[in-house]
Amino acid sequence: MKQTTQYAHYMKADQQPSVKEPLDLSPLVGDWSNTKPDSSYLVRVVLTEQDGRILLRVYGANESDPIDWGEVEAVPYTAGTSLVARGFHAFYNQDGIERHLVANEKQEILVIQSYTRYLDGSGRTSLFGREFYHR
Amino acid sequence: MDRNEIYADPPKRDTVIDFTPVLGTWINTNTKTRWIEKFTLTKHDEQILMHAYGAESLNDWGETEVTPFVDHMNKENAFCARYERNSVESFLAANMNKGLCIIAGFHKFKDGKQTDFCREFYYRLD
Repeated sequence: MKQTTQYAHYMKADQQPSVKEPLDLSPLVGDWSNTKPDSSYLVRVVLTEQDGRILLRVYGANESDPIDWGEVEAVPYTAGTSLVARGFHAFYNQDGIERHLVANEKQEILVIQSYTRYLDGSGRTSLFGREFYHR
Repeated sequence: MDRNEIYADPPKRDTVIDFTPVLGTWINTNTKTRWIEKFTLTKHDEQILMHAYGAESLNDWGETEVTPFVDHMNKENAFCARYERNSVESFLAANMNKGLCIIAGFHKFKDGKQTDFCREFYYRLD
C-alpha cells in the first residue's frame, strides 16, 4: 500500500510531480528591455543559463548611463505541471537596500515586480514597482 | 546616487504606508483554485498579519507577518509574505489594483518536487 504523508498545512497544488528532468529555462533567457524607455526602475534585465542555473543581471535607471547592479542567481519557477520555467524570484541586498524581484513571462513579455526596502537609515518608504519587458 | 538605487521619485521619507484600505477578508475569484482560497489581513500594533487558507477544505496555513509597500505614486499598496509549511516554502508577492488583490505565489518544495508559480486574483469580502 502506498503511504502518503498528511501535512497540517496543505493545498491541492502541493501535489507536484518530482523533478526528474531539468527545467526548460528558454522562456526566461535573454536580454530584456523595459517597454517604457523613460522608466525610473530597471531599464534592462539580462537572464543567462549556466549549468542548469539561471543568472540575473539588472540595470537600474539613472540620469546618465544605467547602473549595473551585478549578477545574482534567480530561482526559476514553473506554472502548473509542465517543465517549462515561466517565472523567477531573485533577491538583491546591497548597501542596506533589500529588493525582491519576482517575474513571470507570458507571450514574450516579462513582467517584473520589485519590492524594495530601504534599511539604510534613509527613512525612505518601502517601494513597489511593476514593469514590463520585451526581448 | 548609490550604485544600486532605482532612479525613481519614491514617496517622501516621512510617508507612513496606510494599509487600512487593504485590511479585511479576501476571497479568490477562482473558485477552483489549487492555491490560496481565502486570506485575511489584520493589524496588530504596528504589524500587519496575513492568515491564509489553502485549497481543500480551507486548510489553515496559520499567520505570518507581511511587509507592506506602496507604489511611487503613493496610491497602490503591495506586500510580501513568506510561509514555511512542512515541505513547502512559499514567497507571496502581492499588489493591489482596481480593488483587487493580485498574489503571485512562488512555491519551492523541499522534497525534490519542481517549483511552482501561480498568479491569482482576490476580491474583498468586507
